[in-house]
Amino acid sequence: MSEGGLAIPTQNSATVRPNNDVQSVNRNEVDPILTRLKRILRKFRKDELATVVATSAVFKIAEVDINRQPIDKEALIKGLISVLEDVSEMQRIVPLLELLYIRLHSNMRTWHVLQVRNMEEQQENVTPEYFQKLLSDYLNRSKYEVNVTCQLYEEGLWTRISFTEPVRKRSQMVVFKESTSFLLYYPWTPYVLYCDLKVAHQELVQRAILQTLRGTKVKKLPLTGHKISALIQLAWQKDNCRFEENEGLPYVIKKELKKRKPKEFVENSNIVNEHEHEYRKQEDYVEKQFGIYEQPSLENILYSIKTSFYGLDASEKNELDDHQVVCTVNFKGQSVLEGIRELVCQGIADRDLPDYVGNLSHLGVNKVTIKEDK
Amino acid sequence: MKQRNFDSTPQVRSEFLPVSSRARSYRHTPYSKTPRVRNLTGRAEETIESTEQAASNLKGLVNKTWRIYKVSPLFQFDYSPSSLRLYSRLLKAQLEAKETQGYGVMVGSSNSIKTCFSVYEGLTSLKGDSEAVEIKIQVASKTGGEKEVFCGILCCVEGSEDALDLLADSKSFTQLPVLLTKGQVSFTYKVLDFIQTKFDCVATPLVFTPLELGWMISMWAGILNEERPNRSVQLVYSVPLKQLQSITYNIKQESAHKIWNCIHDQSSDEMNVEEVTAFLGSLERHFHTIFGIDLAHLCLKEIATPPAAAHTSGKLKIFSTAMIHKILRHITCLSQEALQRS
Repeated sequence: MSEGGLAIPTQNSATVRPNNDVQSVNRNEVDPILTRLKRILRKFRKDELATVVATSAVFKIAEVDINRQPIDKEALIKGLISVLEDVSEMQRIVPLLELLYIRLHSNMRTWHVLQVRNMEEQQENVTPEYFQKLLSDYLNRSKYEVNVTCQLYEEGLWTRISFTEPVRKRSQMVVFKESTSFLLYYPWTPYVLYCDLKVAHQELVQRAILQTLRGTKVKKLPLTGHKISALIQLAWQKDNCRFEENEGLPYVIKKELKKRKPKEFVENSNIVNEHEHEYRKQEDYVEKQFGIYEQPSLENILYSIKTSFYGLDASEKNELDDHQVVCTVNFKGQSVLEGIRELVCQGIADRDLPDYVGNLSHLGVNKVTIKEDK
Repeated sequence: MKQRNFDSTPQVRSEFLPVSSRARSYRHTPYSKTPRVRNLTGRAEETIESTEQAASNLKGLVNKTWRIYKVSPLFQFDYSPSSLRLYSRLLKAQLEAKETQGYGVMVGSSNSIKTCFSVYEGLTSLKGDSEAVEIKIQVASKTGGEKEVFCGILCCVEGSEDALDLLADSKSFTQLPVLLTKGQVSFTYKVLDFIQTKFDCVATPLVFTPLELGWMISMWAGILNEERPNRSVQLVYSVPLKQLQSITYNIKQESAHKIWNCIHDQSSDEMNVEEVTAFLGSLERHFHTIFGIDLAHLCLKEIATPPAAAHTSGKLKIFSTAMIHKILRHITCLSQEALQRS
């Protein structure tokens, strides 16, 4: 399987073949697959469908040239479906399309992070086929019917797992229910990200990952977010010291790393900056505390706090003497860590921030519990 | 700074403004005044007994997000059934006219819009208060049946004695300073247009300043809501940065109640501005000790307490039926203060 795209190398689909074979197949088999295929194709934007066509060998259509003239999205989807020969081809293409969609829209999902400890060997030789086979073998030993598809893209193994299980309805009819989840594993790191994984399947998948990567323990980190590179960077920084750009960083972190632009001091002999010394001291502190690179983008940080109440003097606290105040604080934004840095620059936050606020990028969490012993 | 001259305003409106505001020149300043003391329990007068319909109406106000408008006194508003029917017909005609604007006059009236003005029982707790009025608009839905697209309630709950005394001289005015609205924005604007035209009044959005939100949270944070014991006291601060948008600070109901008891004098029915400052200050100091971030530099945008939640844009949501009168009394007070200032 090649890197990127939807490569199905066995088929020569340069010519458009009539889809008569589809009509002769059992309608009960075709309809659900066709519905699913249409649903996933409709999710893509029109310009993304162009990517699907351009990168896929199956959808290479001779008749429909999307660049030549403007074409309706529905007509384009119909044209794409008409190229497919039979049910088996549809069944093969749907997982790949779903993987492509998740890759293009990874920011729309909430990703969770697992850490695999003490992996036996280096994972440079983990290929998509190897990963897919081992995961599939382990998961199919369970009560579910599992389908695993894996692709390599920019050094990451994007994996789709679908679980099918029978569900008995009230009318005694048995219906097969399918749920899909996605994994992302970068072979240079001990971290596996997942999204859309049901609680009932979590333990099974964790054991499958442990078995596949040959680790001793898998731990779910209290770290969730939408941006994959930020999550990997936060988890990485927890286990590694401050890094420089070229010190063996995974590709996913390296490509997102941005150096902050230094602020320009415009020196004018007519203007005397009375607080220049204080200002430069502040800038030096901020650079030392937060580094020269932009902080990873975390959209949400949640603190759960249970401590004594510090808002009143001892003489004013009557009922609060033995009581621990329970509160939660939620920071929200496009990049909360960078926002906290800005608060320090503007003087709204103190310079000596506690570790769980100022040094959060090295703790590898976005859910923090602060408890005070009584 | 431009000063507005009150002599140039229409005579009918200037007669009924409080004396102090007539003498005062209008200035646009970022500083707003606040009363030193607010009453927590309300006026101890004889209250009206509530009926079954009233109890049902009160339940209809709870767990819905209302947008609040302040309304100046309504000129020649009549509560008689025939007048309310007339207002319904006029509002319907106006809505239909706006719909067909530019398309010519339609022969025969359209049955797709239904409007209704009615007396809303349950909100007047004192004999001096004007009765609340409900305005409803329903349109025919595509699937058959009717869909409610707008609901508005004009009310006055324990309105200010000064304002009511001024109006006592003229029976032509009705004091209903609060308009709660829920529904489609287009219909809201049309209803506001109708009310302002028909009753010669001014209806504008009521916005809550951070100070007014501070009053609300101080007055209601100590009240326990037995219907919703898990509801916490919440303060949402907006941050003026692109990267960080808001900080949400939740305190458990029980903890907030204890903090409030330490600050507020339990024997007093009143809350003063020093207690408000002390309560908010204590919460912000606690936050600063734990996080090193000074919340006083940020803007309080939204609050939520066990009985109610409010947003600076003028949205209100009530969670407790037992507290409806107290909350709407406070909103009536804020509305009248805002009208007097403007």
